[in-house]
Amino acid sequence: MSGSVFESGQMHRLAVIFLSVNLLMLIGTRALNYYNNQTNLMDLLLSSAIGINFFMALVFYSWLLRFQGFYTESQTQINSLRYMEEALDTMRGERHEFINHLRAMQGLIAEGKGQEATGYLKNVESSTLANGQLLNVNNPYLRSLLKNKKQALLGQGIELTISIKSNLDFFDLQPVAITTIFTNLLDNAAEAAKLANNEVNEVRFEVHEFENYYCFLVIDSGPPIPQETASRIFESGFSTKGDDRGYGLPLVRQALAECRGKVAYDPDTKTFNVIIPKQMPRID
Amino acid sequence: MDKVPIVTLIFYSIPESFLILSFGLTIQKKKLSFSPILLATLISVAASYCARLLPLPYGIHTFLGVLTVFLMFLFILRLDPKQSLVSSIVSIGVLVALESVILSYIQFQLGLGLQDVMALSPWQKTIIGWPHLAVWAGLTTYLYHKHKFNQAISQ
Repeated sequence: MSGSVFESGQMHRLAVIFLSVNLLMLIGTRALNYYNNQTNLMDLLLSSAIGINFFMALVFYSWLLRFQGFYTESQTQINSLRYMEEALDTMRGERHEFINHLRAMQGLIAEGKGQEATGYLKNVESSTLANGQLLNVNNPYLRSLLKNKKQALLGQGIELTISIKSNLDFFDLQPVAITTIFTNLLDNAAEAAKLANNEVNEVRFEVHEFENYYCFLVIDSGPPIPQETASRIFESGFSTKGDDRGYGLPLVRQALAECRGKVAYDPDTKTFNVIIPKQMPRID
Repeated sequence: MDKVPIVTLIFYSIPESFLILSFGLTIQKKKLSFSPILLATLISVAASYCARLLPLPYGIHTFLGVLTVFLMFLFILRLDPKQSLVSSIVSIGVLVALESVILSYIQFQLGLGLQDVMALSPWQKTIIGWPHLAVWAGLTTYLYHKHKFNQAISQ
């Protein structure tokens, strides 16, 4: 259903036009009523019909909204199923790798090479540390996004280092917002890291938990954004990378504003700081 | 030009504005906080009072009302621009629609034209608008509590 009326702002524009036309009809009828300065049965019927027509337009608008809700929900479920499938694939791969490691260690131990087996185990431990940390993340969308992003960036020669110091129990963002915020930030960081042409291109993703909020840091090994550019990076359409760019960070800021979160860039540490308030369970 | 009497201002315009803003927030499923709504109400009533002093044809002040209410939703009640636009159109629309149905019926029963209504005494002019405000207040309260109930059972 790509390009469907239920996507983007098309439905909103349609509803606004529809309601505006109805409002114009209402005001026009009242103005006629005013200048006629009489209320006979026909005037009453016309006024009532136009008034009831507005209420019917509202019912239609709410029906459209509900339909859009179903559509969005089904899209979210399709996405979540896709994420789950990808996560399952990742787990299958990890299981396969784990069995291979066990076999290798079994071989080393059988040959009496205990020292080598210990060294091998340490290597395995460090390489699986990041995935181990990811398993602590309670939000399946963020977990899958980070897993997939790590693999995708590895393919581009970029090491995504993940440090998560929270299990994100009170992190309750819409899946679409999670994708918008973190995909844009990580992709930007990857582009910046590639620009530097270092021997090791690295992007670091950190999660810290505070009393009332979570702090997400995205740091890259690329050059810092110059001061004059940094002050404009959240402006819609502003980009130093060419035409049709410069919409990612404004979208990040917009998605965060909807959950009372904030994003800021610190040029000294080359870090994008994202603050997202904890969503506490309500007690009534 | 229509100089709104003080009685009508206090007993009709302020409740009407308060309802416009409360209804707009209710349809966006926002919490109703008394102080910001009251502040926005007083500003929009003052703006509407000034607009009615201008020599504008009947109906133009309603468009100015939509603009004022949009600005109140945007800057004082902190809705985003899309929500502010929908809320202002729907709120003003519901007000005019209720007027069209209920006030027109009263006018028909009393044999009054709209200009006759405007020429009534301040108290009569105020009271004649109360029935549609009462229906609207009931509708807003119903929607607000329905939303709160839905929120409570979904937790």
